[in-house]
Amino acid sequence: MFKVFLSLIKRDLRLAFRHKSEILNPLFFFVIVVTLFPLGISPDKQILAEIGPGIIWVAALLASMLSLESLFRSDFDDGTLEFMLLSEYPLSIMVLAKIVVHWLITGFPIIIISPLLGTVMFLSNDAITTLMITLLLGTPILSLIGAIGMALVVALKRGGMLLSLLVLPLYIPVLIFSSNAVGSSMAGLAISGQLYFLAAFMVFCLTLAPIATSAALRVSLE
Amino acid sequence: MINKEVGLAVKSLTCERGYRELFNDLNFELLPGEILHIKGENGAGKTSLLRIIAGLALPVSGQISFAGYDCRKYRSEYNEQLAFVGHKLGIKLELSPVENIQSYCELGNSCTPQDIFNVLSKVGLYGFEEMYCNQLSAGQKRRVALAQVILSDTKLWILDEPFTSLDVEGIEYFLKRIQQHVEQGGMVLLTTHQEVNLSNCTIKYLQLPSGDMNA
Repeated sequence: MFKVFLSLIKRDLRLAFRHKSEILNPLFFFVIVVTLFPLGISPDKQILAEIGPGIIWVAALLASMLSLESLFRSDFDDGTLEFMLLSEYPLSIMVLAKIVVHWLITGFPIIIISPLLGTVMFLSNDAITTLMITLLLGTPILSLIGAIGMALVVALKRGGMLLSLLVLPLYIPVLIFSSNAVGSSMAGLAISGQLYFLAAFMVFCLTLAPIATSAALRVSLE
Repeated sequence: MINKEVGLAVKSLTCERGYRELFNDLNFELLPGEILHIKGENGAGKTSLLRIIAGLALPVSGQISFAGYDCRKYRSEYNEQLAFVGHKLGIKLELSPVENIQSYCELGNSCTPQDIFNVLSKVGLYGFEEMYCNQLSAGQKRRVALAQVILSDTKLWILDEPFTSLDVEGIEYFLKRIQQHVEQGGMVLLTTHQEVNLSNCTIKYLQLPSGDMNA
């Protein structure tokens, strides 16, 4: 069973590296959105430090959501999703492998580049560390919840709008707690409460989202 | 748990598509060593029937059992015995035939790289093993998909229009493989608009009712 998990991760990573735009598009989107704010609002240090955590997190959330299409769309179009359903192994294991790859190609690059953007937004060093921790805890949640939404709309031709309606409300707790944690650490306040919440939410999603996603996929393909 | 004597049994199957009844109370049985050729007009529900039997779609009512066991309850055991090729081939265009077959194998039975190269040269893809599938022709992609079925160590093959875009030699070769599979006690369910001429094989026919709206 673990072999299937690893081999799917290997296959999807190989596919992602043959389609480099899948990795680069969300990352470019994230960087461009964040860097446009200082130009559009004001390069003033105080203002940027105030709105910075929220902007970085909103951009990360949208970048992750816009890349959800890549999760199941191509597999649905070429029929490999049917083979996954017809495999003797549990579908939720395979779904989890796909979610892990989605996180590796969208969430992980965002975490790596976030200190740079934190500096652009004049966040303090503590706040940048907090930002990275919240992204580390939060971006997997985005991929996990997004997978449920994507599995529900994969059979629809134009499910993009519906997908954001389904998924965005569930993203909001992550956004609130994460940007609040970064803001609090700027102000020198305790942030453990927010981080505990994010960690708990991530474990919750990690255990239940693959099951929900595979159930949704079975419904979608029928 | 697989009973050798009993094959696939379909009981009182009813299927609807878009509020239109395609067929109702369909019954048939497929025993080891038999081929079932499903015939019907365009839109008669051949693909729907095959997808229901493969477990990819839900019937309105009816039951499908394999070796005496309900396919929905024993999904994993049933899937172990099943190979399916539909209209969507399940081929990743950015992967080579070898990589495609490898990832297919890893979803089910295992196979060695040597097996993969052997089967690819048998289906006439010698020299194309490392090319990306988006550089292959439609017929060659179909050959990759059928090579996966040949390589899979399953009892029941469900083939939906397997000969589309294959050339004459290709069709001949795959018919021979189907015959071989059946002789070894396998079962084949297929739809095709071509005549299936196989000597010394039991071929059953199932005619689906015509898709007449007034009927």
